[in-house]
Amino acid sequence: MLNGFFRSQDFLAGVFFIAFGCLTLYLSAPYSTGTAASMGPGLFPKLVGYLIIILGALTVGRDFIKRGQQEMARIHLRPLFFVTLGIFIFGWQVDRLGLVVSTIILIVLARIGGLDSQRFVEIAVLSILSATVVSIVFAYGFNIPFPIFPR
Amino acid sequence: MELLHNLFYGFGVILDPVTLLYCLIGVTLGTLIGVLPGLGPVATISILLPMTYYLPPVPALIMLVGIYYGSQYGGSTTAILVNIPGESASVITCIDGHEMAKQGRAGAALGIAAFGSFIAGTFATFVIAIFAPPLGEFALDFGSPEYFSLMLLGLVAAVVLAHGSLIKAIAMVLIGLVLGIVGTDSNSGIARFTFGEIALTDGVDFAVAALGLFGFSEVMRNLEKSEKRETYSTRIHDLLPSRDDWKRSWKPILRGTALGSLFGTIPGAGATISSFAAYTLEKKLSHEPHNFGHGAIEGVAAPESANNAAAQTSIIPLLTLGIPGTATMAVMLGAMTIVGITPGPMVMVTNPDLFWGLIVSMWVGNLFLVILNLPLIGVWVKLLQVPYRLLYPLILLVAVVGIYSINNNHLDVMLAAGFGIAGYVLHKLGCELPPLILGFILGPLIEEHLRRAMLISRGDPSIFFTQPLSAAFLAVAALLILMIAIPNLRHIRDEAALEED
Repeated sequence: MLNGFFRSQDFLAGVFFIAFGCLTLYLSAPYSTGTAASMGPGLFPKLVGYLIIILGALTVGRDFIKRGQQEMARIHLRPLFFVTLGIFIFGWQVDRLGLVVSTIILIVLARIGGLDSQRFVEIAVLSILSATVVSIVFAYGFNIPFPIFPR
Repeated sequence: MELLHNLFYGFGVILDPVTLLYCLIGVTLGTLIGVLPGLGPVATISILLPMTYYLPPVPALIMLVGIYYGSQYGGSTTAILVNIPGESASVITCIDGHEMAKQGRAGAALGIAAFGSFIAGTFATFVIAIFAPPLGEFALDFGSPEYFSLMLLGLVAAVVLAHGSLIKAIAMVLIGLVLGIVGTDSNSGIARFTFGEIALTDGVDFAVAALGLFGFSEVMRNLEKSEKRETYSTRIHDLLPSRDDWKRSWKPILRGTALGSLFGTIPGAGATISSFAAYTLEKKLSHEPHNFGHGAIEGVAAPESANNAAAQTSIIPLLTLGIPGTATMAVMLGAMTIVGITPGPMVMVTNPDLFWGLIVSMWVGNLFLVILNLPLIGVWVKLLQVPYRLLYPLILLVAVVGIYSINNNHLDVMLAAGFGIAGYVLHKLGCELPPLILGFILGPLIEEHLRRAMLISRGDPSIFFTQPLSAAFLAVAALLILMIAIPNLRHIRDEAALEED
């Protein structure tokens, strides 16, 4: 029974809304509310924060009435993890590793995130080719100040 | 005659070779992503947003808008040939379009889709040219109360027409509002929600959020299933529809065009809902409704005309009022802000080159599209055979390099990765992302106008109801919420939503 709720789409969405609303309220607490005629920086976010919490509560409440009708769609961890990791490492390391290495890492990780069978030669060719092209086009062509090689 | 004069002025803008080239690039890209399933116009425009930092404003925006209506052409090709919508507004085209292809009439279906789209595009261009200027002039008198209520109306319309739960959609708008006001508050100078990060004092970059939420999460969703794609190998012949085809199609094309032009201007409706409405209308009006689903050419002509018309007229609220009606237009608003143009009624006055150039570019773009989509159809069919596993790593690469190049800041890339996760998980929770992005872009504006209105009224919120226009906008917003209670409308909305997934 409890398990069902934890997998219910609306229950989880509602909890997320409530959490987001609370976080908004917490973070905007230091900002002054001001008066209605002269609204401070805190009034609008607080107002919106309360509204989000109310809507979150409504979503959860409706889910209780409907008994967790709709299960949450399945999260596929493999693409989520590897694609995000590739992007993250690119952002984190591109200034140090340079464009060529970062591109290769991104493409290899992105391909590991896919469900199709891993074709090693194809991945190697794809990553090396695109690292070359992207270096030439973006770093030299558009003059974006990327380091190309590791430093 | 002023209209003609303005259109000539627009032609002058678009006939500049560089601008013309970007228009061509835009519609070609649009066709390309329209043909390829799994990459929609919102994601593509988001991915190309960083490019606008490096381009002059007018060609940049002409290119981006070309992607949107261009994708409407490309989407039909995939729908007809492989029975997969290349783009969500072509979902309904699959039904009769692919049936026609099976009967060996793929050429006629493709032909009527392209010609119908062209007729719709031409008509929609005139609709924009005729109706946008007076609407803009009307909006020039708007004060803060009117703008606040209008934005509220825009957001309400968008959530009413979004799929899924209304409550969740409203919550998503509100979350977008909060994310939108991250950064320095223009009134007090206080940095809000920045966690002390200097990089966040200017707010979360719109391109970063849009790219993460739409671009990255879309790629991850596409990777969930391994790829199976039917390939179409038969040669396509007879791209010109026969006399009989035309006789059956011209009325549906005109009706679809009118319907699409109207629906496009309604916030939240956009191309997908227009195509569904047009199909439903034709089926109702037809003397032989049983033919629908078995290769009725009307079932291709009407929705394809409607989606193209709607794709174009959906720019009217953005150009004249500064209010985006759909996620695509929200991203366009982001692009306009990036190139230093504040969307709204003043665009017509301060940037007539952009205003008229953009309008005329749509017609020129449509001309390009007919050429691209009919004689060159073979190229696109070949492209359909390029597997996704080769495409998505490149999409990701262009995206990350683009984000990095906005501020030469590696933190932006990491932030976008976070938005990617958020977009993916929220989608799984049945929370729609377009309302969030609308809220995001309107957040600072709506707060600003609320503040000003309250200042004018000395803190009395009744100003929103005593100003006649503002009251009218709020009344329409209330009406829209009531409308969703009408079973028929709700039915169309849910059906469209179901098919889109």
